Amino acid sequence: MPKHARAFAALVLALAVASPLALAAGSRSIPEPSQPREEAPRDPIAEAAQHYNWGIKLRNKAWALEEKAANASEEQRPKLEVKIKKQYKKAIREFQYAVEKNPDLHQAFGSLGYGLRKLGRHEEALEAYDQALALASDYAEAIEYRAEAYLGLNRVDEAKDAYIQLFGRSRKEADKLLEAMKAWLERHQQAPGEVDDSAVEAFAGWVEERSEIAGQTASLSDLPLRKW
Amino acid sequence: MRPGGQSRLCGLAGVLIAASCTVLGCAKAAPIRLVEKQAVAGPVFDLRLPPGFPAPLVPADNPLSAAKVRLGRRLFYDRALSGNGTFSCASCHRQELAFTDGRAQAVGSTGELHPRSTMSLANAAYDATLTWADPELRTLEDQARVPMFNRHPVELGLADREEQVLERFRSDPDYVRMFRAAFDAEPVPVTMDSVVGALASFVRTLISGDSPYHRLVYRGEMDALSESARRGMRLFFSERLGCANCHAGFMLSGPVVFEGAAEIEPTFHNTGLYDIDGKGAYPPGNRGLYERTGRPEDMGRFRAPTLSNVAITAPYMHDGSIESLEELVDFYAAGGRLVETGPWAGDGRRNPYKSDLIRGFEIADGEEADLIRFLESLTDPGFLTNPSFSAP
Repeated sequence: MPKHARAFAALVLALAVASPLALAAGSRSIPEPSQPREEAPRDPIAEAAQHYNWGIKLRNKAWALEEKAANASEEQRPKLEVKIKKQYKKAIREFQYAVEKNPDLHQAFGSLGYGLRKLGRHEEALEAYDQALALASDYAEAIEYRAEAYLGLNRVDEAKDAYIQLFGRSRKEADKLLEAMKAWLERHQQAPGEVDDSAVEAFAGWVEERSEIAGQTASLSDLPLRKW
Repeated sequence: MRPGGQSRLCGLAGVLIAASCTVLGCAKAAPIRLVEKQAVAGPVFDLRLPPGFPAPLVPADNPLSAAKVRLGRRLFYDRALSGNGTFSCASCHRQELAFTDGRAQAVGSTGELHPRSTMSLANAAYDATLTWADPELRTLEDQARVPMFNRHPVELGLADREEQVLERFRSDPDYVRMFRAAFDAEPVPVTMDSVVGALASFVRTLISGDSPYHRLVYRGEMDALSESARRGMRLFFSERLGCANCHAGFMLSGPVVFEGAAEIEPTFHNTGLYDIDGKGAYPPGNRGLYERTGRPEDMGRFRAPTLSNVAITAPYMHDGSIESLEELVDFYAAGGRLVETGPWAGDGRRNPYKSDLIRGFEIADGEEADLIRFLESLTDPGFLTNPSFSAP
């Protein structure tokens, strides 16, 4: 047997021994909910929740890889980006399973939209967000995510409307969106042509003024902590 | 090893690796629980909150309903709700003046002068405390009883006349119907508690949030303010003027309460209006928080009210001693007031208990005009004429 095959076989053997031991170790090493994928519950609501949770884990892996990519070298980045896309694709699949099992799971539609947007599939992302918001119209994260999808499609007016919608109810999401708007402006000011210059300039003026207003006005969550 | 065997080994390895990762690798991640959206119990009555305004607190023992609000509105405007039948709540809380009365000091049903000015009821549902300087008065229900039963001064004058007043409502079939509809769970619907509950419910609906300022900030109407008012807004929120230190939030007031908010500490400020003895004293009967606590440092401390509709609610301060917005800006620019003559003469600017936030500031004439334009932009014309708040 070649050397590499011997090493491989040893690994397989080790895993074959380790897995039952880990399972037998009890709940200390097994996260809740504890059922492995092959034994997913039959209740569609619970199944949907499980797929959603798996999707979130995959999304979190993508986030961890994104953070790594941000600090990686030029050589390492392309490989990491491939891995990131892979995680998002897997996450999307889980969210899709989740909404198939439970079409009322607005969080899954929201996360599905997020994953699609991260892969540049903005139109599909919008559809997912629309579903999320049809189920939960005050779902602030979905409003913000959808607005970022609008920005991805250069639909700036709709992004502005979303910002105003968020401003009075969820300053945290509104602030996130404002940052996304500033990033959009930076990209389009550095590489003009895709959007009309005057439209970019007008949007820049709007963002500047809204930033000023945001700085002047306290959010609801700040008010109880404020020193008067 | 044969090629096919190696392939089967890889497949088995894949399954085991996957299973092991599921069991071993993912054990490090905290479990993610899918939190179902909880149904939140809220008022049945639709307050039609303006953008940026959270749900106000509604006591569990006095939930809002259309029937209660309707009854409360009728009572609010009914002179039968006074001992001598000559006054109603609306006598001092006039809608066209944002539910104040335009007087320096309120006058009660028997002609007695109140030491203090009527406060606006606009957005009172959100006030952390009510009246000018009572840290214990936290609900509209408790506050409604103050003008109803006060003896010194007499306001509505219901003390010792409760049954007489209730009999007016009991003998009116319309009122009996309205009380029964509003308090259908009560064995005896026409009671003073029901009157208080209905009044508080109506006042809870007096929400003002559609001024040009609010439309700019919360509706994104970027041309809602004139250029002058927009400059004035920058001044208002500037560190130099510091207005927002005491008047902040969605209704430019002191601390507010609302659904889901953490508990808040009410605050009161001495703004340097008086110093009649050189040691910080305010006029007797109008010493603010000091009258509750007896602590010297609480002398002259009063609540910072909302600036919603401020251009309509002159005169200003707890005793209405500042007549106009111009005088108000000059007062704060000076860091307090010098009263040169009369029984309350003294230099409030030097009051030892004056708030550190009242520092005075430089302001040019043009800037003062801009600031006043901004304060005028806090007027909500719809609120002043909304038929839902008017006499039925």
